[in-house]
Amino acid sequence: MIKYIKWELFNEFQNKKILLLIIGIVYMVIGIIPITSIKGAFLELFYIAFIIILFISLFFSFIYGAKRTISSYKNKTFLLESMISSSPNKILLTKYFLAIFFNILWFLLFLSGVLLLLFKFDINAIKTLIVIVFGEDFSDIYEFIRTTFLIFISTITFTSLSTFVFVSIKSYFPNFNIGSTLTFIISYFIGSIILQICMPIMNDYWVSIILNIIFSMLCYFGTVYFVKNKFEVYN
Amino acid sequence: MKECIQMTNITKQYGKKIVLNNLNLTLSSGKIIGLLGPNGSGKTTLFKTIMQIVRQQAGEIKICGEDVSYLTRKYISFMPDREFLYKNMTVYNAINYYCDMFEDFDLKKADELIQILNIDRTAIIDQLSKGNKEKVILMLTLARNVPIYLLDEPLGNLDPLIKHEMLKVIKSVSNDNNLIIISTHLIKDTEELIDQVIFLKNGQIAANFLKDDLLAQGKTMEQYYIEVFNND
Repeated sequence: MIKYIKWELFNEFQNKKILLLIIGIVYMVIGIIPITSIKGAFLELFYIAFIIILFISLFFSFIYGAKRTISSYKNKTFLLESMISSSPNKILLTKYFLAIFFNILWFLLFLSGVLLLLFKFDINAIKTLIVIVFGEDFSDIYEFIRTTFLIFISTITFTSLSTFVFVSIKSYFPNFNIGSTLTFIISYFIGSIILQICMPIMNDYWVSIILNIIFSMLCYFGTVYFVKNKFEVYN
Repeated sequence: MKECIQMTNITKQYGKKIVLNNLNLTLSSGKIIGLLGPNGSGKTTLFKTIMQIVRQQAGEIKICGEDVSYLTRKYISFMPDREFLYKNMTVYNAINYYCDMFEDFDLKKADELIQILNIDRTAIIDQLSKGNKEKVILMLTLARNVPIYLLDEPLGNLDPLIKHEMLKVIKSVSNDNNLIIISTHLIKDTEELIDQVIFLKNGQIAANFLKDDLLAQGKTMEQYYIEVFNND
């Protein structure tokens, strides 16, 4: 599986090299140029781009892994994957690993942007931004880590749920052209229903974590079942 | 000779369109088989069903005596009719990838095939001409040691020299322990190579015969093909 991971990563970075270059340039310009010299439309453009990147990277740190996992079943390389008789369990686990990796990567991009802000401005600006984004003041670092971990676990649950939804729909309706957006909407809808059902016990932090893990595992085994027995290479 | 593929009453539909219609087929090792039929006759679907990358709605398939499933893919080396490798792979990378993914991949055999087909290991596959891409994929497919090889349109739109090289390589891999099935439109090009011919028409076997039997009747494969498919 090492070579599979290597090529998936290499392919992903090749496809995203222009986007990563733009992010790099914007971060560099924002980091290098002193605030006092911020004048003119040109630099304002960089700041607008910077804010957009911050929001996109935060959004992607929740959703990118799931989107990527779904796309992996539509890419032409899935045909190559399908030729391998080795267990789909192993391949799906690798896909999850890659999904987590990319979620973290986008989160790190977001975090480095926030640190850049911290470097340029003061701590209060960062706090204001965090309150705007998360709706909570994380002056307590322990609380921040706890919440980040819960969000991180939730993104894994969302990845496994949306992959399960996509694969099961394609297994039963192979001619139905479902994209990632519709998959996300259905997954979000299912997730909300389950959340409502589990709400009375979800208030406890560790119960939430355990329920998320159990739910991810159920979706994982469901996906593996469909890939083994029903899913067709349709592209 | 071992029984490699046994298909009983196979039906496959895409929506309302029946692509394989109650198809029965038994094939044994030791032969190169030509699967011929016009576009849409079900050749690719037949291959995909054997590979279980599409699933039949009815019927039973046995591969090397085992009920077909994702596990029986280990018996089959499949060359699809379209690209499926990573964009930036070199030939060398692709060989390593195959070696890692398929336990039955034979590096020594791959080396020999590279020599015969005159393939540049350092070339990026995506930048190769169509003919050279086909050669690389054929090399990767045939370098696996499996009982069944499925080659889907391996010779389409290639120049005569490359066709000749590829046919030579296919012939060299064939032995009593394996079965090679080639789906193609190019009857004349493959006539020399194949031992048995299957004509597929509207998802059913229209004819299944040994090439020598046909030649004994004084007919060429092309003449017989026209005879069978001209009635539509």
